[in-house]
Amino acid sequence: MQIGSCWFDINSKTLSNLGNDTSWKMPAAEFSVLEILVLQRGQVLSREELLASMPEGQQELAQLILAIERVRFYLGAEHAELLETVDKQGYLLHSAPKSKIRTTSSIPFGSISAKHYFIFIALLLGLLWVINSLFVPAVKINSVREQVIISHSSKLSFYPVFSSEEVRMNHAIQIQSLIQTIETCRQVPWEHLFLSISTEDNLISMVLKRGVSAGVEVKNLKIVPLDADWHFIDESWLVKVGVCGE
Amino acid sequence: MVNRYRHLFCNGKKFWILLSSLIAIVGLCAALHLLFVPEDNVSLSCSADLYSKKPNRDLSLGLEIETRGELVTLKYRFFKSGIEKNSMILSGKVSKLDLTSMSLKLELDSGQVISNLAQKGLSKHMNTIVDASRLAITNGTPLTLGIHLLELDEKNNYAIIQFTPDDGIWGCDLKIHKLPF
Repeated sequence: MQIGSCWFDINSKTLSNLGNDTSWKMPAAEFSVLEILVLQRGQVLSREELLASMPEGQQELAQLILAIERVRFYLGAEHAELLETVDKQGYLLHSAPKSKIRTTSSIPFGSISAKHYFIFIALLLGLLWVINSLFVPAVKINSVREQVIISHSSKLSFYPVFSSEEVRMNHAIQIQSLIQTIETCRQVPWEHLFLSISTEDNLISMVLKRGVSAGVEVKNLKIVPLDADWHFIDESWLVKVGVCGE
Repeated sequence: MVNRYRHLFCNGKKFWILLSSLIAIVGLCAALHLLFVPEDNVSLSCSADLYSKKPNRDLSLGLEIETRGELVTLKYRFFKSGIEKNSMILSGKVSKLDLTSMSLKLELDSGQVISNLAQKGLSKHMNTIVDASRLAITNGTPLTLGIHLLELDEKNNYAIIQFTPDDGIWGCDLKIHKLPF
């Protein structure tokens, strides 16, 4: 039976190295250990099982370890790994040698040197920094519900802003009147209108917004209402303050 | 003689080296973020035309909000015919930042009023603002205001904000000062 570059003859209890054409007449302990490993090749055998196979009087752990080492020595450095020590379980005789290429998983740095390892880490950190600094997106938020006002020649997105539903309800008539007035405008040069009413000083706030060639134009209006019904806000007034075009 | 513990030793060493590297990278990123990534300093600059029944009155208001870290300054200005007549500066801190509702809570604990000597008094509108602020601050408790972001566009450098509790809204020029990493 082939074990690496050796031939194991169970009948003659001999292990022959075909590479250097030598033979080893195996002592009883080494033979019994190798025999049971060969017969259960590919399976892990516990130390107890191996000790049980050894001749009486030699069933000691130190003897077993010595036998294993002597077999490995005879197999040679190239094939000694066929007889593997499995941690906390026992020993295993492989059918074929493991790959000669040591992977990263088997030794600390594997196929890469420590210098390459730290260069890799430094590059990874640099990449994280570049991604963070270059690809942070600009923030755009629009969280207000939109209504649409259609005037004679344009469309205006209208956003009434109230943190209190009570204030909204209290001014519903005035807001509706404002919308109807805007609808009568010949032209509305704005695209968006935000409206709110300051509860503390009863100030009407309007924010007008439109896109221009340079980006976005924003205009603020603060209006002191002189009557509760906002009757002063008519088309001419809207034209004078710039909400409607002429 | 074969080192029977080599396999165990190598696997254990490999594991701890990789784990240590990972912990070091995460720790370094966290430390850098805490130490060097600042809260962005934000400046909002807003201006409004003030109208009543007579829309030809040349009155305007200015509002500037500046944050530096957790400190905040509000400057409210009143103009007539383009000349600043009065202003009020309130200072305090950002006590809460709620990213879910995109709102800030400000606690303003100090303020001053600056008036043009040629001005005989504050306008009615400024009086209202100053009185409300004075009442809160002189009582020993900070004036609490909220700023809710209705619209924010970093690309076009503007933001539309809503003050709470009074619901005043402003469209403002936005400047965010980001410190380099």
